[in-house]
Amino acid sequence: MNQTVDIKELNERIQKESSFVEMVTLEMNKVIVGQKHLVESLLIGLLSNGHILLEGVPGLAKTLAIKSLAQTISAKFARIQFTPDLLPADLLGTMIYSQKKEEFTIKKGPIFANFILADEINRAPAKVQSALLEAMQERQITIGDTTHKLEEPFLVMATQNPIEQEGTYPLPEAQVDRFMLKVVINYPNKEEERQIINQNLLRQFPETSTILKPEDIVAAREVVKDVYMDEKIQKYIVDIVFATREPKEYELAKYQDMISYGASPRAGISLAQAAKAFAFIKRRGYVIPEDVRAVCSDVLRHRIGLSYEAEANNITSEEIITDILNTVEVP
Amino acid sequence: MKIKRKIFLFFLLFLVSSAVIAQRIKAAASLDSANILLGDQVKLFLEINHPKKVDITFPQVPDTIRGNIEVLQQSEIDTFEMDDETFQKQIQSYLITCFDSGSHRIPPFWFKINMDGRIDSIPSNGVTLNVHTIPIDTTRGPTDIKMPYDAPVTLKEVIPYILGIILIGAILFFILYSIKRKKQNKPIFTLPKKPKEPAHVIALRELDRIKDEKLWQQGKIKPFYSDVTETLRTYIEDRYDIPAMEKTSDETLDSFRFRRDLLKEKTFENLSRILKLADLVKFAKYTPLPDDNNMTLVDAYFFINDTKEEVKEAKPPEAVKDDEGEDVEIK
Repeated sequence: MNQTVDIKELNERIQKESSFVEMVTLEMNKVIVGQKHLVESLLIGLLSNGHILLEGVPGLAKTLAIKSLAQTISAKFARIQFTPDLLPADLLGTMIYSQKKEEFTIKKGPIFANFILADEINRAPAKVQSALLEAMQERQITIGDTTHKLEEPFLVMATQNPIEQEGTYPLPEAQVDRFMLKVVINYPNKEEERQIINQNLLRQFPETSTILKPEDIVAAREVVKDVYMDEKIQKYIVDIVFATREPKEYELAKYQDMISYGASPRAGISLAQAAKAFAFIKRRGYVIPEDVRAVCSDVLRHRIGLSYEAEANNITSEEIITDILNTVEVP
Repeated sequence: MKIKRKIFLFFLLFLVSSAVIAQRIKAAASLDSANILLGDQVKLFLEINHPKKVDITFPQVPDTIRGNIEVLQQSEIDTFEMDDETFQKQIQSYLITCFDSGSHRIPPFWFKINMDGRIDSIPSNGVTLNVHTIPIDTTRGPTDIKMPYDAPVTLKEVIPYILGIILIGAILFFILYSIKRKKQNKPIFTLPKKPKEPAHVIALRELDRIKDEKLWQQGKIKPFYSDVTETLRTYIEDRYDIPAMEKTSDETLDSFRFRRDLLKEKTFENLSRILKLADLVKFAKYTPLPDDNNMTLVDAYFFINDTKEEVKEAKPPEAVKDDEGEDVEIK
């Protein structure tokens, strides 16, 4: 078997560069029992420069996961608890007058970190949400006259309570779209649950070792960008995205009235980037349809708007995505 | 004097012949039952036997005969040929009823006859209608008034309802059928499909086409592998009902892995080899050796031939030995 030079080289490079993925996973597995999907999603977000929206009940190791990841990478971690009285300045920072120096000095907010856990993002009013989401998008913050670039890697993991709870401000669709992935976390299985209890009873809390520097992640992102994506895969991604917009054309007429709006072009970009990152995690230099399918639900579930009819029929975006994946022809 | 005598004789002959004809015309009235219960209905027949050349005018029967016999219905006049071809019988019937008990005499009816311009009339016989009341058993004392009898329902009355029910049934069936078809994403009316060829026949024909097109020999390696895998996936879909066109290679192989009874170990490995190599070519710019291309086609033929559905051909019926005589070919 002779292989074309580009792919061979790329594969070798990726094999070499992606070796840290296993180490990071091992380190995180020391601290977090189960939640493989969460760890994998964190890595995808980290490697494809995207942010993650998490949905799940409290106590599923969301904070621990991102804290451990920060420790593994020797990065700065900040946890912000969103409350109804939170102000944008509490998040971004503010100008403080120093009587000693007789001038205004900048007091940076908690957002100046590499990994941020925005807990219960929908508890804060819209102006705070907007401040965070703008920072996520622009990766820079302006306080007074000065614009500060945020340090790379910059990963925001926001958690969200179910919308129907009282005292919540649901994120507008345009802002939800800025999250690359929406990950739904489930409970651990029986064996994992037993292991968690055991660890806590014995007061054994293993710590993660620092194995990477933030620069390594920035370098890895460059390699991820080079992962080869064939035009057949690109077409497959386009088909999936279009199926959410025009289900009738993909023999999914039953969803025509169920979807009020389909996935945005940003969804297509995110799907391609996430598929590349997934291929990198799997230590492959090229994307295969499996990679697209693996990340598809996380990328699209928050980008499909359901109509009242769908809600009345208890149709979820996950069901629609599953049906799309089972209907769109794989290249 | 002789002339006068001749004229007298001719006139006498004419009168005699007319009288003879008149005597041969017979009119009659009859009832199909002379005894009826009060309010019962009975038929009164008026009939006349007469030579064909005589014009007959039936009597005008009034609505009420003798003030107490009511005529309910009148039929058309029926004409019958008699054995003697010069004679015919004409009959008209009347449906009559009577609500007065007792014996009622129906007087003779007068038929007008026209014999070559000579007008005469001839009576029928009179008939007697005996109307009886229902005998009352006075020994049993007073009894309850009986409800009126329901008139029997005729087919003519029922037919509109039957047609209505059939029509409503047909409309309901059509509505339910259309909803079902819509749910299945199928058109309401479809032409009957032609019987499909066996999956292996189509697949082998496609492989022959791919072989003849010599795609990889012309450097079109990717289209070659795309065509081969598409042929195999279509075959798997038709043969095993596994939606291979919407599955990735791994998912297709998993479908067989979970049902090891479907494929032999060697055949499974064959398919696995084809799909994995094709994935490398399609998604990773991989260029296989010419031998690999040939092997792929050979493996594809092998897979289809090894898994094709055995069609049981109907055996011709065995000829029954006929001891009694020799079979003769009928031309």
